[in-house]
Amino acid sequence: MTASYPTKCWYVAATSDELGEAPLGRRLLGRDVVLWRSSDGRAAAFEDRCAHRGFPLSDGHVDGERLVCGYHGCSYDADGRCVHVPTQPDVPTGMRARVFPILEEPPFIWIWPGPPAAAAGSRPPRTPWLNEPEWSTFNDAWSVEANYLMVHEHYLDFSYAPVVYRDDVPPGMERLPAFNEIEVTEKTVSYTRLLPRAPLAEWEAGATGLDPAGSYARRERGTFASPAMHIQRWELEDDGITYSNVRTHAITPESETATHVFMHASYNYAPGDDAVATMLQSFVTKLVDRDAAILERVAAHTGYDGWRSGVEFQADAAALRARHIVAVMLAKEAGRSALRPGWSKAKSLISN
Amino acid sequence: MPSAQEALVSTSAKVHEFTTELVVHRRRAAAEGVVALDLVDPHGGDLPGWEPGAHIDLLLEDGLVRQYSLCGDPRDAKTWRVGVLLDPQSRGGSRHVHENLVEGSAVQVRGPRNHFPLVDSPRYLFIAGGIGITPILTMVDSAQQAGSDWRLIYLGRSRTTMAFAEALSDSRGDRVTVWADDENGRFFDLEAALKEPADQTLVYCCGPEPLLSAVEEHCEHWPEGSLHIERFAAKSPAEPAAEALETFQVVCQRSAVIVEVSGGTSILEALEDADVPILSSCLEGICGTCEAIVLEGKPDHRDSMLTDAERACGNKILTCVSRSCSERLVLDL
Repeated sequence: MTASYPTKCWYVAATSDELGEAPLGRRLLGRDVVLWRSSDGRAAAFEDRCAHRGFPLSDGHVDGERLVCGYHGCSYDADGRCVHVPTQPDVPTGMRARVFPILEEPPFIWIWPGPPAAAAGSRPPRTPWLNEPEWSTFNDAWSVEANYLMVHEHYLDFSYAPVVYRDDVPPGMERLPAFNEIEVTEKTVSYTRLLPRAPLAEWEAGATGLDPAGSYARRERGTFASPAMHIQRWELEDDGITYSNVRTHAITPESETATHVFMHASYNYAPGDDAVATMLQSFVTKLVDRDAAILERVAAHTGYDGWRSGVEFQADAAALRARHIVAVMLAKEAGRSALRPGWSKAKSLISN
Repeated sequence: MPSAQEALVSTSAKVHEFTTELVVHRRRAAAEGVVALDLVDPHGGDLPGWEPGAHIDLLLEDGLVRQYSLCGDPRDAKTWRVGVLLDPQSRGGSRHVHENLVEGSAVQVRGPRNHFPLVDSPRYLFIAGGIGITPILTMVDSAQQAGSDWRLIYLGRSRTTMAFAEALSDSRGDRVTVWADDENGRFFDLEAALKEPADQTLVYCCGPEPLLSAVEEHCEHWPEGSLHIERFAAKSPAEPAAEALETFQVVCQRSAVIVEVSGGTSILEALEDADVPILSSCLEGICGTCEAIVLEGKPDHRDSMLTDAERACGNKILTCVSRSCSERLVLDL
């Protein structure tokens, strides 16, 4: 079966803080990968199997600038070359582990699953707010038993919020308005939705310290930055000050039916306020759990094929555009005409 | 942030392409009659990413919109480079660029979009005519980087008018044939070059209409899907199909909107009047921005972009120029 994810794309393999002294084994993009950091600080990603007997290298250990297999003790340098075999003076010619190009731009370690030569021609999306001092950021990571495009499409259509998160949308908001604007480029799509003025939901009041009974304008924005990243912004305005909450979702397929999500939640207010940080963390955890439960329920019930063959709403416009961007990437990789990816499952629903 | 009232009345999204004002950071003569402009964000911000084959619109004075291929480095998030030929028959676009866009000038841009994407292949034959070299430049780099086997035939009237020719010959002389008509005293023999379809080879061609037509003709016996071309001007207007209708109905399924199209109104105009979200740019059937998926009905294709195979397939329509052969055309909008 052809994969539903492009391989000529940078995906997040791990966050920088995950990679300590021990190697880390993780299934990513249908491959078993070992990530490790040598004593000089350089991170590397190999296929997680020793070139000798296929033992998982993630069960081994890091010795200085080498990764040592936990079976026969073969040592690999950061370029994947086997440099030491304990039982013989010389290493068999050309013995090496398969290496994946990686790029560490904290907080992310990005991996390139496609042809290594093509990695240099591409760059991952940038997320400067994650490193800027005016933002406070906390992070979490989880795995969801659903195709990665379901995760994208779920986040790109937030119109379910008043149904799924009834208590967390602004009081009295029975439905979210339609998108006000959808902006596309060759490789991205973003939408903006303006919300009518309303009082504060409990979490908003707790986070911002504003008077909950007041009336506030809000703007919700979502961006498909690449097949590997979605960004959502929830901005609330009061007296010329914008209170922003940004969720940065790195979305990495584990397989066709499971997805890693590395989330960073950032906000530009209440710096150093532990009570706000704790409240927002528990609020976001609640959302994450409910999102995952919904996705896993649909995935187990109909799978991605069932999901994508449903009737589309106007609220799906951004998600459909994202699907098209992915379809073009897949068609190019498959050597098919990218203008006619042959992927659209849209069908006429009007009976004659 | 807009008022609550504004938020409440919004019923359908305005879909648009990324549009911004950039400044000319650097301008240099790339050849006789050709300038290369490096455009940057005035605040030093990142620009959207793009892939080889992409183009942008320059939104010039008096509503002039012109498409130019991006020909810089796709990894450079700060700069978009375009090459612009001063066309003696300029309808105003290239003349405006040559006369008015100097270093420090501001210019509105829109995009990028890509209707000439480079599909993965072990081998490529690139054919560029004159300023058609611009999209091919980044394709050549990409093919080289990916380790594909490639050749470039670069055709022009004389070497002085051929932008980037020297750099291409210097760096990739073994793979590049630069052919100047005046040096050779005749045109390049395309028929001979394309006589034998090469194994697993995709042909990418960009240039003036006579070159595109000739390459189309000489590639007819190549395997279907081998040839990829990009036009910057419409072919001579397509004749309406015999069964083309003057008046018909367009059903937008997702939006549940039905519009009547008749006489001098295009499908695109009718959709825009009904507030159905759709993008558009060239209005001549060459750029592909207003493409829509056809769910039902038979389009009357009048564009210069879709291939014969795509027309036969019948599931796409360029709404700015094409019309309908059936009384009802159902689109995925």
